Amino acid sequence: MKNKDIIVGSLILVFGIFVMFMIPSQIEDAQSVAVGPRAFPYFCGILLILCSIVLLIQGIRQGNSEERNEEKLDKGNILFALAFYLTVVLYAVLMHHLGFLMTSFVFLPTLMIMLGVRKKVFYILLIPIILIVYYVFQIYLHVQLP
Amino acid sequence: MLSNIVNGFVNLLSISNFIFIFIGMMIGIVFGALPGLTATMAVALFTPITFGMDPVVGILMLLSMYCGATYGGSITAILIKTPGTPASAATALDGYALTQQGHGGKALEMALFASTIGGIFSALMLLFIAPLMARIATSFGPPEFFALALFGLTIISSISGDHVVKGLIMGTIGMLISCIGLDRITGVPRLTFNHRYLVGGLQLIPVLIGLFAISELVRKVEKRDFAVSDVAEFSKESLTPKEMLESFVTIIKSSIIGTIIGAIPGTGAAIASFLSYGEAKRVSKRPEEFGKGSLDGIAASEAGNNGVTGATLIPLLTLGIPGDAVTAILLGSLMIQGMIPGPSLFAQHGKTVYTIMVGLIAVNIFMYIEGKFLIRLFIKITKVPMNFMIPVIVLLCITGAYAVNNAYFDVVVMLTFGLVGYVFSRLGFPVTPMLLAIILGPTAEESMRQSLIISNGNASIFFTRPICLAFILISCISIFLPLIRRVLSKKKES
Repeated sequence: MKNKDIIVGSLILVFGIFVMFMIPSQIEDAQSVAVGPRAFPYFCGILLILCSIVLLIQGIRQGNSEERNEEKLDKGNILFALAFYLTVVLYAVLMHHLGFLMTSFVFLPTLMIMLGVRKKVFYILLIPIILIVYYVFQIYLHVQLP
Repeated sequence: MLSNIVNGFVNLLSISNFIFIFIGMMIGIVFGALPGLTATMAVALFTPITFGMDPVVGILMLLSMYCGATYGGSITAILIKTPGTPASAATALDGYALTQQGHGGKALEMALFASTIGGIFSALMLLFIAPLMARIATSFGPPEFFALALFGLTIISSISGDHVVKGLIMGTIGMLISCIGLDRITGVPRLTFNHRYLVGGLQLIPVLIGLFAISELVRKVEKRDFAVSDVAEFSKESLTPKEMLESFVTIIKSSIIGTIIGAIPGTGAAIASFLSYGEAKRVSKRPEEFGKGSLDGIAASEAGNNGVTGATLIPLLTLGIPGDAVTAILLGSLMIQGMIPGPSLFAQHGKTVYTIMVGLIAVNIFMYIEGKFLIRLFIKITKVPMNFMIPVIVLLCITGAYAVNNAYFDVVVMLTFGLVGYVFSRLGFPVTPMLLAIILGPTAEESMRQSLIISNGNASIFFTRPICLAFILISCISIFLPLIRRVLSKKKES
């Protein structure tokens, strides 16, 4: 596997160039002021391109020698983490449509099962926690939870 | 000034202040004690709860979490040799050794005693130095603010560790993100992609909950480290007055080191703790005991890291410069309360600011009381497994992000930044620079453009005003210092 910095560096380089091309269509220019609204984003775009080139050069110079220091990629673990993340996303999406209490009572125990909580006490403990959070936000802070 | 302090003290005396300091402290100590949960996460997660509160109550609650978490790290450091926060790493050396010798109770007491003295010392320094700084800073105009924000941004270089380029990339992306929304000078929409939610810009709180909570949780899930360590048994053992006296010089010295380090943006509690520990060892009559169970070592490390807590607020409150991730979030929390940190804060919100500064002393006293009497409870809580805590924190993240504006879009923002934070930190990119840039970017841009409007486009305005020039020079030093340090250390090695 190639050095990660090379791949990330190229992606950021592409992003930097994309930013530079996007600015004219996204930001109107104002002629009246000394430094217009486009200047700072342009500066960021240029900085991003410069930094990504430095990162690329660093990555190429180091070659594969640095790989020992990096954290090992374990595909299984990463997939598990992504599955966890997607479950959280699904929880948030469904909460928007089905309401806070219902989705919380379904998804939080699901997350706990996913993460391997065995003791029943914790599942029972979850009920008052959800209710307290609901009470604090909905009634005390007047947040209209879905 | 004295009358302000007295007024602050009088304002502090209300039941609700004390109740929320108490609750904040409990949450803080728990977050500090649980390995993997940090002060940063606690403050980010609970900021939304403070929206509806009176500014004094809300900010004091968050400060209690900050101080509590800094102290709480020592509990697990001493009992299971896993520092709850990086700042307690030095405590783990001697603390765990003492636990094994059967003196865990003594070690915990010393950590608490030293943390409290360090925290109170730092709070006092804040109370006396901040108003003076603010008075100097009231003469600042846009060029000075630009130089200050620039200096704040250069901290990215020192907090990025070995990856200055990666830190810079994160900072730049952060600055781009801060451009989203209406341009503050001309009112032109920028980078909004014609999306109506983006016109107002991104809300800070969802962004930082995503960056500092969700991404951390996903990382934890990936590592699958949910195991609960066995907490060593310890006997309740009090410090003798002689032991307190013996370490007192160390504690005061470490508090001073912590305060100085804390007042310099871009440093932080971990550095203060290690410096204090090193200094205590250097002057100690029994340096051979360090690392093998020295009470002095614990005193130094803990007074050092809690000595930072008040001092970091000096640049934050007077100049609006956050020194690290926690203070950057506190800055956001202050802004939401309508208090924009910076020189004008003391003039506009003097009463509130003084109450908060006096309150910080009370926070530390609460820390001592809770640490002394509720320690058994905290130790029990550290046995709660992470795989139960993670879903609970997810719940707090989502409701917290939602609470900012009652808007579902903020939840989307939070989840997006959670993924961004996870992917970048997984690739070795530090996340804090992005937060600093999102906060300081707009100040830097706005004040630079205002200055150039004042000077009709002449850039010499930045170099002819002494204070401004001084800060620009300090910024240059701050950028190159880590590079110089690295070159020097490489020379040493070879």
